[in-house]
Amino acid sequence: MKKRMSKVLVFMMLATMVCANAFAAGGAETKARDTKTINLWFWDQNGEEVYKKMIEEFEAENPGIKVSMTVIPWADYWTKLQMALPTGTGPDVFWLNHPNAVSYLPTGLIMDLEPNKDQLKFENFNSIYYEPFVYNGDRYGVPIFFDSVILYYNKALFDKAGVAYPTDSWTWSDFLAAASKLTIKDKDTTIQYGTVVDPDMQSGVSNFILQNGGMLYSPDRMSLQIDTPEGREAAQFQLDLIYKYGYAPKVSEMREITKPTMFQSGMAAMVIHHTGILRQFSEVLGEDLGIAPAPQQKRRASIYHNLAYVASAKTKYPEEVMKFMTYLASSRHAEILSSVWAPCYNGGAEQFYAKYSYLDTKYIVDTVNYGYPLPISGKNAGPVYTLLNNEMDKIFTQPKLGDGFAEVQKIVNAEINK
Amino acid sequence: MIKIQKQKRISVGFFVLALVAIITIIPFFWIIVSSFKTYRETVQIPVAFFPGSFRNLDNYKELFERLNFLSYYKNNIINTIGITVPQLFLSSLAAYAFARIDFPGKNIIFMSLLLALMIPIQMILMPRYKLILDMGLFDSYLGIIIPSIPSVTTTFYMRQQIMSLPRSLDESAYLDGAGHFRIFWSILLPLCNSALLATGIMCLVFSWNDFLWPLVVINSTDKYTLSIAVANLQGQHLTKDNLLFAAAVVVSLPMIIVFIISQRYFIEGIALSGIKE
Amino acid sequence: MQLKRKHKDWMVAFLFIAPVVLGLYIFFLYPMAHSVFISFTEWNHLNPPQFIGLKNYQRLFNDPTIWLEFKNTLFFAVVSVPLTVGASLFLANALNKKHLLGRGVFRTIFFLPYVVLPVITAQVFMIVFNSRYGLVNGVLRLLHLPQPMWLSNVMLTKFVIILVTLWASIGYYTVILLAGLQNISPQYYEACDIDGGSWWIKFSRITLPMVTPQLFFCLVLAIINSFKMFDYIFVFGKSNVIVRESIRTMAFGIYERGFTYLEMGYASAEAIIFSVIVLTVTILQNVGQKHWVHYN
Repeated sequence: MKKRMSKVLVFMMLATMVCANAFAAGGAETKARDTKTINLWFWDQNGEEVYKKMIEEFEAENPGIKVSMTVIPWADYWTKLQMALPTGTGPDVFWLNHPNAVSYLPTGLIMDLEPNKDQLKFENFNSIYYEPFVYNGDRYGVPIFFDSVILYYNKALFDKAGVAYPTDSWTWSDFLAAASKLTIKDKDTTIQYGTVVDPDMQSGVSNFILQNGGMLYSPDRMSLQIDTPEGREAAQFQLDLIYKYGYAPKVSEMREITKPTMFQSGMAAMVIHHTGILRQFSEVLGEDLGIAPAPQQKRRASIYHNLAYVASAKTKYPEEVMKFMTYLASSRHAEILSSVWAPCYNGGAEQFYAKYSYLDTKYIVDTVNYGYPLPISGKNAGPVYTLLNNEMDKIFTQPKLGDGFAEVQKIVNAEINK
Repeated sequence: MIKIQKQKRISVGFFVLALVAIITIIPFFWIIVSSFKTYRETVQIPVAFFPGSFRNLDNYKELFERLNFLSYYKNNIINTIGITVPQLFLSSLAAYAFARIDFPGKNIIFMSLLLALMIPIQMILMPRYKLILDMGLFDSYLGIIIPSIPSVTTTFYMRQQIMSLPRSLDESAYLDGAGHFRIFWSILLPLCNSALLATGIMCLVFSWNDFLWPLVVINSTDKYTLSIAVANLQGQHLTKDNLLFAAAVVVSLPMIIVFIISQRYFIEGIALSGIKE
Repeated sequence: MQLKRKHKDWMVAFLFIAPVVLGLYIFFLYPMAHSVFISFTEWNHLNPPQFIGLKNYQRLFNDPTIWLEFKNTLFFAVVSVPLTVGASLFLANALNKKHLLGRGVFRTIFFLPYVVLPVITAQVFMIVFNSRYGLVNGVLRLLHLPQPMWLSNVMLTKFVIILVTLWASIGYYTVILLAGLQNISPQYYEACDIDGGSWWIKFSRITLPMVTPQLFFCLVLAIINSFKMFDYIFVFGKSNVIVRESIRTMAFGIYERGFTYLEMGYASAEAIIFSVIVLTVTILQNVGQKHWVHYN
């Protein structure tokens, strides 16, 4: 009994301390409100250090303004945003990507940046980076960093198999020939695959469809148009890599192990993937990593995607936000950001790639010339994007495409026009 | 009364139990050994079971030095104790009333409480969030703590517990002039020690690991809980398993220690004193 | 005098239950009522909800996916609940023996899985069941048995999910039941020993009846939890879309419709139907408890 009473007392004391702390934390907040605090939200922890640096600089140049940054887990970023923005408790400045731009821009929750275009100097960016963030002719986003799709290959595995490294004149048949020599079997199991086939609409089959002269969405983006002879040919080529030739693993095995892990572990000799993963690949493979443009067929194609900073239309401090956005649109921002990502700011990417002097990063920079935007629909973009990827996954479980694309088109177009 | 001496025996049952225990604990071994690996070691195929060196503490260093896990510990402790202590007390109090006092609407009210368990929590996030905003508890510890204190599970469990205690105890105390609170606090509750401990631990673990509600309420990184910090380790494009599993060890360890310590307090044998058989 | 005491009793009762009841009503039931309202609207989180009457419910009853989700939910509940609670009961019973060597160690080991964050559990078991280099297939390979692609097969994935759920929750129910078992006076068992009772007699005549209050609690909770479970469907279904489409449960469907497809109205309608089903099952259990639960 005594033991329990003393335990209860200890708990009560702790509880009191806890309450005191909880109230104290509330108090500290009121003090901070004398300075104007802007909230910045983003979802990649890798950016914490560079943003800290940027914020320090910005705050030093702008006394009276504080920037508070919050990293939100990627999986829950949109959920939190959806709850916070409409209630006015959201960020003042935050990251937005292409698919979500379609849903967010028409809501009136995002600040129109066109009135401030002289301050922001959009001419410092290639227009392909801010076009997805245009609504009713006005620009709403300041581009941040981009990635495009290229071919990664493992030099050590190429050397072992005696295959020449990929060049920028590679076509699908060169790709196929190399994949065949790089696939190694041990009795019934393949222990090394030439490449990995990915139904993904950013880093996978969409690139091939475009390279073959096919198309993804109609110009008004209101209907999916992959069901063309060129599109079907491209998809069948990918399926053949898996089922006819065995140079690539089945999609379910790929998803179990994940494409990046397959490449990093040496289980796949070359993969087509986006450049966001360059840092990781380079850390693991070091000098064995090589990059080249994705193989061409009837033309070159590489899907690109970029993020933009947008501001909340309901922000309490519009002037301060504009000052911060101006900083985020500056070359100084690009300089600091380039230690982690490839900035959209003109010339910013070169600063990033300078760190990878042993790689032919000019190939990545070149993709701007033949880049196609991430395929997103004109309406319901987020849900449609997920639906499309799911349907593509399903098609790729069969060796023959058959009516696959027609089916997908029907389903996706129904969702777009819901 | 014959005292039956039973020495600690190893029987067939023991071996079965041991086998099941080993199978149960294998995933933990995986988590622990992975926490010492470098990222490169986690992307090898086939994945090696053992890390290159058990002395590789880089993952732990990163968690505490770069990623601030120590301050998240503080937040977790505040939230967990702030939730558990009031919850145990208030739930037991309510449980006593449901178990021992006959009042109008008792059963309907109790069933309506169970309703609270029946909807997936994601559906009620928004209205709850608005409530918290209106109460001015947004982005605060109390915003996490207060909605988490009322618990159907704890109340339900304690009600079951109290219902299984003999009413003769209540009656003899009442005859001695005790009111409801005295009966509750001095007579019945002490007899529920095992139950309180069990449900207390469950509440502790649940609030320690709670993820969704804290994520919704908190905007300031410095008030993040450990579960949010772990979720941040899962990137958009890839997750570094070595860091993730080191974080798993760091997050689970306090709860495991609490459980081990609490083992001593599980009362053995007769918990009902003063009962005449 | 009796009436006064009764009324005083009622006041005390209401006072005692007030914090919990008020708290639950404000933070759970009021939001649920809001959810009912949303189920009659169309809402994508960002724009204000638009009233559309019963359209969501009409759509629900014509949607074949919902029926599949219901069947799967039922499947997991019917298989996983008896398994989990039954296993926990046996385990609690085994761990209740004073003479068991290393009892504290065993208890800790079986409790550990409950402590791990669900996201971590899912990640570990993805690795364990990986078809190429996972532990399970590694052992099967040693035994020269076939090594299936676990997560590409609907039945096997269901099996994995049930197993992982068992692994993660057995600690919870075992601790609860163990606390219940400890309230059983050993004198009953000693009396049984004197009469020459077997292990089964002790279990079914003494242990089982006396732990029914806690058992009832475990069953109600286990059923509710199994209905709500969706983390594992989400993670284990990731590698194969076809498998995921076949194993989807109502909880998963509600989440996907609300947060991936941004149809909160439709998701809420499904959630309401879901709650009604769970409520019905719970009420049935509550009514049925009179037949088998013994309070003192």
